[in-house]
Amino acid sequence: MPDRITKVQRWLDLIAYLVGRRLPVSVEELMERIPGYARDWVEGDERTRASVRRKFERDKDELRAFGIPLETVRYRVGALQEEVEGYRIQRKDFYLPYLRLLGRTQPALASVVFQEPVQVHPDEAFSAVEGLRALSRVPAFPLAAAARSALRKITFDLDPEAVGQAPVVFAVSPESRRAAEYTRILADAIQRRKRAFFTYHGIRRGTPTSRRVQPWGLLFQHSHWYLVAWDEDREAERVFRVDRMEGLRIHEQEPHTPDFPPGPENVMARYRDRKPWELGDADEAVTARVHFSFPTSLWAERNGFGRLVEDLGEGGTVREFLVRQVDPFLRWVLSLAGDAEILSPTALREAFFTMARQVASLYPETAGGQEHD
Amino acid sequence: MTRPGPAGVGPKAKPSIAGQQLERILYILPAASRDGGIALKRLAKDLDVTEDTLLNDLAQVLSRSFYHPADTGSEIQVAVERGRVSVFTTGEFRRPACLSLEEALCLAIALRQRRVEGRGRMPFLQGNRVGDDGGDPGPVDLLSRLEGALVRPEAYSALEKLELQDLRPDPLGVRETLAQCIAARYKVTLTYLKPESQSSPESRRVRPYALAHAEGRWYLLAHCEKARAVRVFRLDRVLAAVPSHRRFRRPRDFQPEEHLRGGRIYVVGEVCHVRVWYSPKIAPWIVEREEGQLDFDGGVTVHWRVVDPGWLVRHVLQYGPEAEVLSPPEAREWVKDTLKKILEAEGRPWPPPRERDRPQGAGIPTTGKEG
Repeated sequence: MPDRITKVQRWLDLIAYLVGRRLPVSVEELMERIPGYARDWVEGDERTRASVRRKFERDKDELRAFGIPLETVRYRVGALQEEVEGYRIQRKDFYLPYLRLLGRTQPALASVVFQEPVQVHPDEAFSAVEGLRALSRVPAFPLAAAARSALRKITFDLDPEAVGQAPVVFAVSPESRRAAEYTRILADAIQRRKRAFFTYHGIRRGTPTSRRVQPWGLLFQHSHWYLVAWDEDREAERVFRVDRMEGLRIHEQEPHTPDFPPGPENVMARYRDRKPWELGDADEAVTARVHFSFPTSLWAERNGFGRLVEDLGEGGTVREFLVRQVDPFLRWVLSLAGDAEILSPTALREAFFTMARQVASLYPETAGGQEHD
Repeated sequence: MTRPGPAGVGPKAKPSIAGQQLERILYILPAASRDGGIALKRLAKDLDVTEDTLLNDLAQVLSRSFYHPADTGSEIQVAVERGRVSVFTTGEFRRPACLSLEEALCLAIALRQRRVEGRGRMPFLQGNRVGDDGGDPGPVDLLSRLEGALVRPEAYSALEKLELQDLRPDPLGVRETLAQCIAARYKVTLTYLKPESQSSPESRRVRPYALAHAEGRWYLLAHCEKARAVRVFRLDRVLAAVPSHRRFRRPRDFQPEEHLRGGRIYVVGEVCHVRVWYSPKIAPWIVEREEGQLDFDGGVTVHWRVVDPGWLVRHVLQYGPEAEVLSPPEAREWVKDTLKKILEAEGRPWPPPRERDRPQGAGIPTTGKEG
């Protein structure tokens, strides 16, 4: 007999005991029957028994935190119908339902199926499998390990070869390596609504600043991770690039008590499908009209840039944009290298040509095309 | 009756060592209880641990037999032979555990990313299916059925707080179509808009090998039948992708990772070495990306290996006056020619008067009001 029964062994015993029972089990029975408790419970004094009971409570909480569906159940026993408290793990809740791929020959179901199988169409299976596979590869994704284990479980019944594989690779930039540790911490803080503190190296300011924020959500855009949060000192919503944070720490006092109320509903939806020039205060928005020449007009249409307002024939189009941040918009139009032209408003059009002239002044005409130092 | 509460939906701090071991064991036991067991190497790869770790996990299970009274149930026998693990159990653990909350959240995110909304329609290679709204019904069915069976309601509250914009469905469903063609090994005809091209989009028949994501963009790595070589296609320039039912074989030695370097897509071609200067205003941002060092004036000079002149022009212009090509002269001409085109089309004077000081622009692209 080993000198010590490990925690994992105790957990396995507890799970196996409860899953194998149709009826709830009282705590006394668990104390007497689970070897990890029984040794001390049966032979111990009152103090020892209290300690064993506390051990069970901790095990129960930890297993529930892992997602083990360990239920506390009140039920009646005996002739007097005395109400007692017990525990159970129902097989149908504990085990993964069997996934049956339609249109494929699969082995006969084993005798271990406890729920109705879930019928899965091959392209549905493909969506789930490839979606999880891609998710597990997103750089610095805080749930990458969970995505991989979900993939393992989904493909337990579904043969990956039968489902099909479409390789997806993600470029890992130096910034995403730096973000990897912090995204997980922030994701946890967001879920528990715990305040976060960090030093931020914002590009605009140049000098680092200390921040105290209420984290609301994480955004993965343009291959970077961003934290959307309420800055408590500035009393405003802010977006922080995660790889520009330093010294991140979470308020850990009363870890199960949120530090702040829930943020606005659907706050992350404000950032969905938004271009850099679309973010900002609605009051400051400008409606811009831009002419796209062919074939860039096809590209603008394909990617849903702005809203089509006029087809000019010969392939050119005019599209309308709601611009809340002028500078990124001007630079985006400039980067289209002459295939797009701002038509209105006049002020925006002039601002664009001012910027173009500023850039052009860096490339003056010189005799013979000299190198610039 | 009290159902177990969410206990903190969403990611937590890293699970304890005991917790990680329990998760592994709850997977190992059912995987190894199937006929023939499972190779230790395969298990180690699946679980991303060493074989020694697995053997340690199995030892935890094995040594239970020393202290288990015979009538406690759940007899588990483990055999490790010739690199394979087999488990015999008359009781529990012959199926994997249901999805945890985090796993369920991942599945919900993965399924919702696949939905093609609005005009998007994903042609299914196994047979066209169209939903009532004209959209792709597969993920809708999936959302209601697989989610209903596998995803706990508590997971949905966390969905609102994680926005993976870069993984959102392609408006035209092109990416999803290509993914299916890659999996099925079907050739595809692309309608492709070449950068810098003033002519109509061209048709290219390709053998799609893999998808890649870099710098916020999606790319297709495919063998182009016209070029007779692997080419990289930016998906935002693919106007349409029509699958054929003609199959191909992907070369076994094709490694999609070889097309990524330093966080970017790596394109083969004739190289021009270009020096670009970035102003102090944006240099810190450039330095963190390129892992370079600031110059004495606070700016930074980066040496680029440029294959596509058009890329260089677009790259430099996106920074407005905060970036300047220093050399070689022909690279400066690329930028100047573009600016001439922009200014002269409007009858603006050229050359513009040279300004004394390097101009300081307003800023850099952001994703909202940056802190």
